Amino acid sequence: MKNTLKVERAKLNLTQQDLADNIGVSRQTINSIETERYTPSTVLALKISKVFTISVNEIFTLEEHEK
Amino acid sequence: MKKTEGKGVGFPNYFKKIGMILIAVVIIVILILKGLHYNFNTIPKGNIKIIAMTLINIGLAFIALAKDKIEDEMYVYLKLKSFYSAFFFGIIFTIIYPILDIVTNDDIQQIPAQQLVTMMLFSQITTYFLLKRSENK
Repeated sequence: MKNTLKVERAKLNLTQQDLADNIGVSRQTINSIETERYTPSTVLALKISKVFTISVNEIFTLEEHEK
Repeated sequence: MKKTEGKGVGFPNYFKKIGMILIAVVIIVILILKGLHYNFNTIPKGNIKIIAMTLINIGLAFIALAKDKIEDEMYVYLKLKSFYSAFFFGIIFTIIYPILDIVTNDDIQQIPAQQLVTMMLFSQITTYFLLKRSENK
C-alpha cells in the first residue's frame, strides 16, 4: 500500500515525532509506515487522516497488484 | 509520546528486569558452585539441573511476556511475528531432533520439554529484538 504521509507531513511542517505524539504511537511506527514497511490498522489510518483533515483514501492507496 | 503500556496483554515492563536478574543469578550461582567444586552429590545432580532450567525458563518467560515501555500496534505486530517464528522453530526442532539421532546412529530420544521451551523462548526474544532493531533503522 502506497501512502503520501511524508508529503502531507511536510505540508504541515510536522516532524515524525510530532505526528507520532499526536496520534499516540512511536516515531519508529511513523517511519515504518512512511517507508511502506508497515501497513497501519484502520484505527491508526483514521487517526492520521484526522490530523491532516483529509480522507484516508487521499493518504493511502492500494497498489496495482493489491486491487 | 504517550506511553501505551497496559493496553496490550502481558506482564508489566519491570518483569523484563526481574527475568534478567533471575537468569543472571542462576548462572552466577552455578558458576560459583562449580568454582567451589561443590559436591553436587548432596542433592541429586539431575535435580539441580532441572531447578536451574526451570528458573531460567521462568526468567525467559518474564522477558518474553513483558510489555515494552512504548508498545503501539506495530510493536504488538512484531511481537506476534516473533511468537509465530518461535512456534515454527519449535516444530522444526522437534522434527529434526529425532532425525539427527538416526543420522548419528544414536537411540531416538524424546526431546526434553524444558529444553524445547527454553529454545522457543530464546528464539522469540532474539527474533523480537532483531525485528525491532530492523524497524528502528
